[in-house]
Amino acid sequence: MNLKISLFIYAAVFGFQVIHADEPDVKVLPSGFAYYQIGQLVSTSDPTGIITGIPDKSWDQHANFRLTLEGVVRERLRIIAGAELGMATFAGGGGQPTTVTTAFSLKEAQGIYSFGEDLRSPFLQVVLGYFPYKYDPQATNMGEYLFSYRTGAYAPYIINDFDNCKSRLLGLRISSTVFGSFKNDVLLTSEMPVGGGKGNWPIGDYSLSWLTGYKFEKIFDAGAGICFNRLIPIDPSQTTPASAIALNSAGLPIIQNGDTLHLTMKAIKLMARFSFDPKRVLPVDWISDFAPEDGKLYMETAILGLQNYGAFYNYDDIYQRWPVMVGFDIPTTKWGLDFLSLELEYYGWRENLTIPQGTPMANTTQDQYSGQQMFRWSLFAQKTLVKGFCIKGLVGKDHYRTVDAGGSVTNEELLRGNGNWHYNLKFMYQF
Amino acid sequence: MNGKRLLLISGVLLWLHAAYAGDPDIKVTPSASVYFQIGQLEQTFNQSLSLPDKTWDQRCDLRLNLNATVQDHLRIIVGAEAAMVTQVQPPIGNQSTGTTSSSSYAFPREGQGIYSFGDDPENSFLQIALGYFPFKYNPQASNMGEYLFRTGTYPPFLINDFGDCEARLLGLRVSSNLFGKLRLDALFTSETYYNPLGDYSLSLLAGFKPNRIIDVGAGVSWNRLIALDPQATTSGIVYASDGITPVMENGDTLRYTFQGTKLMARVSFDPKQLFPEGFLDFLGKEDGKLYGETAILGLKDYGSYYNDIMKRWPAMVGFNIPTTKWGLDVLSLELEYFAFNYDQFTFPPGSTPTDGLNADKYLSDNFFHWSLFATKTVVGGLSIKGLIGKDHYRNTGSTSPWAGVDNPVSSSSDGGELLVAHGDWHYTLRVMYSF
Repeated sequence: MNLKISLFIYAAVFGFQVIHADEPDVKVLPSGFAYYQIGQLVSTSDPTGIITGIPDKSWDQHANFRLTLEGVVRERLRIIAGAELGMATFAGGGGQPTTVTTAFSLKEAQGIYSFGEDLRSPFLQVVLGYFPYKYDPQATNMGEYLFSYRTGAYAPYIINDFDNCKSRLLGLRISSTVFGSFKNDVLLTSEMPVGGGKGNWPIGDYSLSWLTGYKFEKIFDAGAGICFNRLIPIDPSQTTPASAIALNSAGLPIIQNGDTLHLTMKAIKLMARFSFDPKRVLPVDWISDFAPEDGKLYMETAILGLQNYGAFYNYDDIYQRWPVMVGFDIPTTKWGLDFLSLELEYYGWRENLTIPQGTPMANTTQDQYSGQQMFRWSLFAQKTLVKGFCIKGLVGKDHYRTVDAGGSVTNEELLRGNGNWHYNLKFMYQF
Repeated sequence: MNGKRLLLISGVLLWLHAAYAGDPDIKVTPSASVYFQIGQLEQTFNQSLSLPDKTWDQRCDLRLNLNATVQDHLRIIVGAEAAMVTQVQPPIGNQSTGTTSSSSYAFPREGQGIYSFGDDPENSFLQIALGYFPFKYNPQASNMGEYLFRTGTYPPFLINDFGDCEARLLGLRVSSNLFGKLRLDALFTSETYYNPLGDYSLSLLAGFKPNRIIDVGAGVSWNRLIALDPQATTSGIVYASDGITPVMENGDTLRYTFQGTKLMARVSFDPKQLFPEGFLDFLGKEDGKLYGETAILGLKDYGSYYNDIMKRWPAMVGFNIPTTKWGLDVLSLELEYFAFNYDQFTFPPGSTPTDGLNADKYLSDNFFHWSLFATKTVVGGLSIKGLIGKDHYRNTGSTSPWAGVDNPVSSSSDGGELLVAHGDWHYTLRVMYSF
């Protein structure tokens, strides 16, 4: 445990100890937003709602507002505190009961210290706390695969949440940007509950991640990352239970390096991403009618667990843990949209079992995909009508799960069958 | 939830009003703090088996506050808090795996109006505060002490909560500051944490600081003086030692009650002020201070449980260890003696207001508690706090978020103290940003 304490103290002190403790010069910046969102599950994998309680035509509405205070102390230290009050109503069809939930939840609690002379583009930043994190600037709905907030390994899962295509992480981030185009991030983060017990238990374990990204002019942007998921378990007995023995096809324990191989939540995740803006290679006069996002092509892929093991749960086939997403920003100048993104995803996980007792994910139910449903898609649009007010919309068959008032997702994907789809509309004010 | 929502919405409206109405008589100051905290119960008494040795406790928390000053004399303060708590417990007994729990909660932190009389509101001779407010009367106490409000009577209990060595009270406060040396407080407050809720208590406190060398204070609290539901506050019959004969007092049957009179006294002494000015400049402002606080948690002896006032008499002494060398803001060592020693103390059904509930179960030879508390401001806006000790640590779960700790008198044993045996201890570290 000394290692964890040392890491904590190191995180707290590193980067700050060279600063003299003078009287702070504080500038406070309030900001906030409010939105009303309405959506419908037009066609689900449980049309009558017998299993999930969520039949076709169910309505999903949200009204939320967030208040964020940002304190800038002596220019270099930014302290951001944000909380959100939400109300969600869910009206299932076919006589299913209507539910209303409310929640007041913490959304951001971080301190950011910037080093370097240019504080708008610091060469080094140290962040500690609970913070939003997005590494793939193009992804609007799918992708952002690297962190447990969005994906898991053993068993793999993927989470999509309308207009929330990023992670929220608890821990330490150290970021460096050099030459204005080469960015590296190192993160030591603690597993947090995403909600509903989905896959990310036990919580508290620490993961170490490294991401790198290079942006050439405005033409292409490439990045890659690795996440040593649950590298430091708080309680190893929960992360790698002694009873969760990996079995071979004959049902016998697998021996690896002289030891019995155990199923574990620990994993190594890999990620790569790329975006390309072809209009930047054309003469300036030719592209003057296009919006900044128009015509961009992008993609992201990840391996949700590098190691193959065990004959059950399909852990012996890495291709089933290998999602790939490609996207295209459809030129929309004609309609005046901010952007219109079409995203397609291939994900080959074909398991349809319930996780048995004795495994790290016992008592949770993993996503039960049928064998031929490997493709997902979504179309996301945004339009700013006036400064401070915008409309966002999505239609698609993605990894949709219901979300409660506090932003927690439920266990199961609801769009797993042929022809399943849903849509969402959001009217958002912000200052 | 309605109260929390109302408080939050009030805060937002207040802020929006001040920000956009342009009223020159209203000045609004937003502030916030966020922290990330980890801690571990290294060794516990394991009394409920719910939090075994090596339990890992981690939390992230934010507080948002708005402070509005209306025409100089009226201050309105609203604040809310949201937190995420994670506890990871290793396997217990024959279990092969441990358990993990997580909770998120939000609650009002502060909601009060303060009116200051006199020409100088900053040094008002009379202040009236109404609402839900923090209250700290012992400026030196860093973890233990603050007994007048952070304790209970019949049965006695003590609360320690890392980083929150103060009380949060709902009701009325009238304060007077005379000659810059004598402070008087009268409080009429309603019980918000521990059942039965709502009872009103009347408290009087006085503090005298004639110079920078010494600071003394005393107080009395008539705990649950006005019971909203007398039957919930006072019920079970007190029997004589034969267990059959009811005890009579002033012609009436004597009954067990949560009502009690608490007394408190405190003192702090700063010996470095006795030296010539400049002689001890190498010491920090808090360095070397000696302080103490004691209280009686129920003046009256009665019944078989409460027949010895000495067992309801905690006493705490503290010393601020000079730390200039290490640059800490403060390093406080506090020691406490508290002799309440029922080691198998469950109230028998039908005999007390705590019928069926559990009180803290101290082992009979464990009267001493201790803690070492440190805080360091690294840079303006960023501080680190840490505590190690054997104090009155309780589960800081989500069942009683208003209090910050679980209910010490509850139908579940989870609210009990966890560090009651020899060698028990825990530690906590917090990184905190605030502006």
